Amino acid sequence: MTPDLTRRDFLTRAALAAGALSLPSFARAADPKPALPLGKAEHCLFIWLGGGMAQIDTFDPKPTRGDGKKQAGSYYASIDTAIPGAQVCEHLPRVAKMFDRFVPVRSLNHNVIDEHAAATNRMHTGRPVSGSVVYPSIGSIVAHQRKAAADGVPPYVVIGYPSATRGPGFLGPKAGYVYLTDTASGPAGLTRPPEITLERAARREALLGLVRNGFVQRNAEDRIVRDYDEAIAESFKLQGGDFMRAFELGEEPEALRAEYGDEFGQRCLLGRRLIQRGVRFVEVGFNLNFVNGAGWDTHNAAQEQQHELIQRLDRGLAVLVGDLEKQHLLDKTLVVVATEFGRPGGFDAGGGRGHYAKCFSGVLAGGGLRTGQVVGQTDDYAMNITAEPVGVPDFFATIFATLGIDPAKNLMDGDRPVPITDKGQPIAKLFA
Amino acid sequence: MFTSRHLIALLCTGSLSLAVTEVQPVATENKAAAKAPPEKKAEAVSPPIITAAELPRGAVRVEIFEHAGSAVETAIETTGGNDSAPPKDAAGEDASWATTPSVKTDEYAEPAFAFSAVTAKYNGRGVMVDRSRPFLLRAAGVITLPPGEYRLLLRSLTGARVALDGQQLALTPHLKNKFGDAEPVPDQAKTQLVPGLPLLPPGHKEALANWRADGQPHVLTLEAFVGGKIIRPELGELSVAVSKDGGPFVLLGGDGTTARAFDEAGWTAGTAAQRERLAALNAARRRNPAEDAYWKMRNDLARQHAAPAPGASIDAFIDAKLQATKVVPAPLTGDAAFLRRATLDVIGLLPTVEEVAAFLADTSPEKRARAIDRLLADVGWADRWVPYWQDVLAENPSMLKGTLNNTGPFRAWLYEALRDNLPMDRFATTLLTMEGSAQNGGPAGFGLATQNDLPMAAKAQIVSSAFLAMEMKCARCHDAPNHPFDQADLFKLTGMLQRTPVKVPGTSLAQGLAKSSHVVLSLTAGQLIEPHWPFADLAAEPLPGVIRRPGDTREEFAVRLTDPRHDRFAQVLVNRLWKEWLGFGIVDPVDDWESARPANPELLRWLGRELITHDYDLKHVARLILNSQCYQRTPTAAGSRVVKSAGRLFEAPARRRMNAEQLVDALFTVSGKSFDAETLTQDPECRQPAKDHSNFGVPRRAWEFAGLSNERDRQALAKPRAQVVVDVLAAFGWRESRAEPRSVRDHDANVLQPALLANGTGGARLIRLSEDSSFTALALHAQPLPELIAQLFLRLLSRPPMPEEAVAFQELLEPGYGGRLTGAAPARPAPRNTRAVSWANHLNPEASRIVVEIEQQVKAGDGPTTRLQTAWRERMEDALWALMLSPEFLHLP
Repeated sequence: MTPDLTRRDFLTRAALAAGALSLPSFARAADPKPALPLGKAEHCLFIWLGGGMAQIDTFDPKPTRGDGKKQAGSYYASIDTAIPGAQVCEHLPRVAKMFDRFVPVRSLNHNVIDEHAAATNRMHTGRPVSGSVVYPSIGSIVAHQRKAAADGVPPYVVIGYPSATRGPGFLGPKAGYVYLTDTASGPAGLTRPPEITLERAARREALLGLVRNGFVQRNAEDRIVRDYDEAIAESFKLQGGDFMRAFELGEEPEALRAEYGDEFGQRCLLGRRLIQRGVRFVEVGFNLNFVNGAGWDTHNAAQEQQHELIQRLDRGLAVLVGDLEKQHLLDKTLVVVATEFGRPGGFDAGGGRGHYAKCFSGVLAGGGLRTGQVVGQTDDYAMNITAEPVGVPDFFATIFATLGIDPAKNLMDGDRPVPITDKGQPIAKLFA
Repeated sequence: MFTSRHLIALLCTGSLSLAVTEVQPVATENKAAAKAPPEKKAEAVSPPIITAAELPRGAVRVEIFEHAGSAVETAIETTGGNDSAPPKDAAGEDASWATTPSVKTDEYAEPAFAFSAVTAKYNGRGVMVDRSRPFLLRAAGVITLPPGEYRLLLRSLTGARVALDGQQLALTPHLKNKFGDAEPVPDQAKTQLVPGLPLLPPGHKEALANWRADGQPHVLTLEAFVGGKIIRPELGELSVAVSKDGGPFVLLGGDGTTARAFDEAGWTAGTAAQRERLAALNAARRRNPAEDAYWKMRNDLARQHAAPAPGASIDAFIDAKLQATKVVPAPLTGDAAFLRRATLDVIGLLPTVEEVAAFLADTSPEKRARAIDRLLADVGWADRWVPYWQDVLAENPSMLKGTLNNTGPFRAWLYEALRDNLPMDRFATTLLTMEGSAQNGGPAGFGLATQNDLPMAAKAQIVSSAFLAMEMKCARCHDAPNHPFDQADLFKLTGMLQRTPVKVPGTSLAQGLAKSSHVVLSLTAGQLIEPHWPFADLAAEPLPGVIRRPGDTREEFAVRLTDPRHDRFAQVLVNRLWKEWLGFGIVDPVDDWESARPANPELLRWLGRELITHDYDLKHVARLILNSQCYQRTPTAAGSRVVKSAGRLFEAPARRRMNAEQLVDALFTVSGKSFDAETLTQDPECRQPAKDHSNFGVPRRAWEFAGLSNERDRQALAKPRAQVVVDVLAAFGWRESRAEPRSVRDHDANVLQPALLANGTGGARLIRLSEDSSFTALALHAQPLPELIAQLFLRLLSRPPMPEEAVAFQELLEPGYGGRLTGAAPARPAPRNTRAVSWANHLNPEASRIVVEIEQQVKAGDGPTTRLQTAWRERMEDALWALMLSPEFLHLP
């Protein structure tokens, strides 16, 4: 073995290939369509309905009523909405009234049928898993591309449980999230415990200052030590700063808090307060599993309380969109309702619904899009797409374009270019 | 002494002086089980009759029996993921007393009828293998109990029975693979038959029996099945306890009378001691003289064939360059700093106060060398290095259903291999031979990659970067544009690992390449690639006598990889070690050498040769590095500067910080607290198959954690206690999912790191002076305040306080120091939730409510000691807060 560590056989090709490095053309669509104008939205509130929302029981209802047994169909009655000709289920009355601010996308589809984790991953990364790349979540991509809109604020906040799927993948920890599991206690680590009075905090910090300064001065030139020391300072700034005030929901008028309603509503309200402080992307988990145990994974008997979930979604979502509008934030905030897959029109043996990914619904609102339009048409049981299919990459491309991120650009995994979407095309008719 | 014939005679005449008055298998709360018909008649086969003569005295003889023709489970596959449908898995047979396993495969002694683990089984190469499903544990001892009325309590996860002189006393039902996800959430405190005993673990059953002892010796047997058809091979907590004349229950010992109390403390202590005994027994079981002889032959051959590489010492190479460039090296560290750094580097923990004191007091010039030898002999070496290899080899087991690139938990094999300090050629060979148990810790688990269209391609890529520093990631989908590999090279290696030609899957080819792209696809979908070693200059024909299975391309891969005539393998390994301890590699990046030039090629060659000619013993090279002045110098800004490896002089080590595992282990060890994590499984009841659920046990060192990734966003699947530790680990660079290999972690500072220590639930736990904190004990101890302050600094920073620090801490802690003790009794531990949340009930809304409640308890923190005045306690906690948060704690001196 020679010390130069290179196998002679390959020298020629390696040299040739080196010239190709600067060309980021790899894996671009071979024949890109003309670029659409990018949107101007600044923030995204991504509402996640874990378990798989049944489209036929929510945003894509059908005239045929199902009976929970052999007869397939909608479990609930349908009502008219502010979009002429478009109906939703009867448990979405508030959203129905203001449906012109929304875009129901009824033709989402992918091929991960039976695994929550895998489908959740698909709906967070926008692409199938690959053996050699760990893709970033949509929140991480937006955080990475747009950064926070203000200093001292994390770009990406998850209200829900930490998971690899919500993580930054190859973009690394800087594109990661800060998470909290309930609105009452604030994000893990950034909230000063209630028993630490300001006086005690000052005492602690004075003491730390002494120990810290000694060490930092002894290693004055050392960037690694300095970086961590600065991170300590920043963490105190963050903790006492404007960002943490976002969690003081008590600052909101009592009537508005009451209007937002339950924990899901409070999460939506918190989401609004976070984006107002410069957070770019907030994922709001609707994981109120103490309502029916299964959440949106309405197999078997979980179907019986599904209407409660839908009503809670209706309330939180409608109040959020209305509030954003009143605060003149709706045009610069894209609200997304997403789920890992849908559910079939028919019922399982226990009266609930199984998983179905060939056709399901997602919802967009605000963001400066041309709302009030329905995207996609489906058949009698909302199980087959009959017009305007929207693949997961297209859905992602639409979200990116709305946020002013070129959906055709490449991210870099080390020295390797990775397209930001899997050849997704934004839904053209939503852009002015 | 009884013989079996005597016993039968006695039983027939009814003159045996024991009376079984009650046999009561119990499975409350589990309605289905309660309603199930009694064990079939065909099952009612009598317990074996064992004579006292064959048994040891004062101990319990443990035997393991297996079914002939052991059924080994196949690889994890992600088939259905509908959480509300029962999964399919058909490995093994149902447990049945009618067909107990009959082939004895192990025997050893234990002190008591109390088991939380049994020995592992190993193949001839020393890797753990699966036993038959099920296998049977049979424990027997000669019991002499003082005369009296006894109650006997059998506890087991699996089907078990207790017999006295062959007559059955107590029986618990077999485990059943029973699907459920919205069952009632049992309250274990109400389920257990005897209140006040340690809480019955989830899914466990109990049976009580009454028994009048006559003071004479009798043979007691305890039998339990482990695993079965679709049942994971888990033992749970198996015990026999007795209570005399209504007194407290004690765990039954081998001698019947002197066993330990059946309480939380007794169980915990017994489990820890058992773990130590089993570690020693397992180490002996792994040893195989024939295998050792083969590797001695290999290592002797290696010495003969190693390429020459002249040199004398690390420092000679380094100093020559320093002199040539007139660069002045940094001074050596002080003793305290040296000991802290070396202890963290070698065993991943802080030195204890006693170690620091002894080291500082030692005046011998050999003391650093002696400390290095002591550390290298410590089993902590394995704990220190398991996380490194977990990253490099992408160990990525999943607690719940497979996602991308999940492997088996081969951490168990890594730990054993490192504990045994396997020669590195044997380490790599054993890994890549992928034998043993796939799902219960063996290297076969390395061979798994869920949701991957070509698992062995992923493995070939991992092995190439780990041991050859060839990064073939790009070659998975196209010819690597900036590496000298084409796609076929990777697929040839893939074929060698797969032992068959490889059909190129369409999904492994880059799609949609622009016409102008310089990326080349040289393969087509469906093309067949033959197994072949693709590296022309690492291509010597194997040395004679080395190949043991001619024609096995996987073995050929390992043999060519570790051939002593090329030193790439050895150089890659020594460079990895160097990088971990000096902060930069002699070559960087350590996993991709194609475009890098080494800082000191002669040193690299010499170190590689040292490894090859010293039985591939990495500890030999470790000793060389740790004893070098190069390592023992003070880290400086100059040493930390990022330059290309070719220009690096190593005039000082780079500044490094603890990795996530070192930090977490150091913090918890120094505070004396356990992680207090939940058992890492979603199926503690052991009702679900291994293909969907794993159980990683209760972590004791940081590397034993696994991702808690709650993809389903369900409260009932959260592990709030473990999450506290995982949050800290993740913030400091530990990966919750290791879907791909990584040789160098992201060690950049970020806000969340100090924030979690300053205000996170984990940070709050660590500084809280609760009854279990070692700092509470320190604070209670009568001593002058300066002594207490000195102890704080020694424990946390491995050095005495500087004068201005001593003054500041004195000012902080003086008010109230004299009257700090309240005289109160220690606080009782806060009551824990006794409801057993598991997969079987996680969709019951009640389960979500319970876990949310636990989350709130965890956030509220550990209860403070009642023995210290609150105001002073808070001052002391503030002192701990400042020291733990200080950058000095995190960064290696």
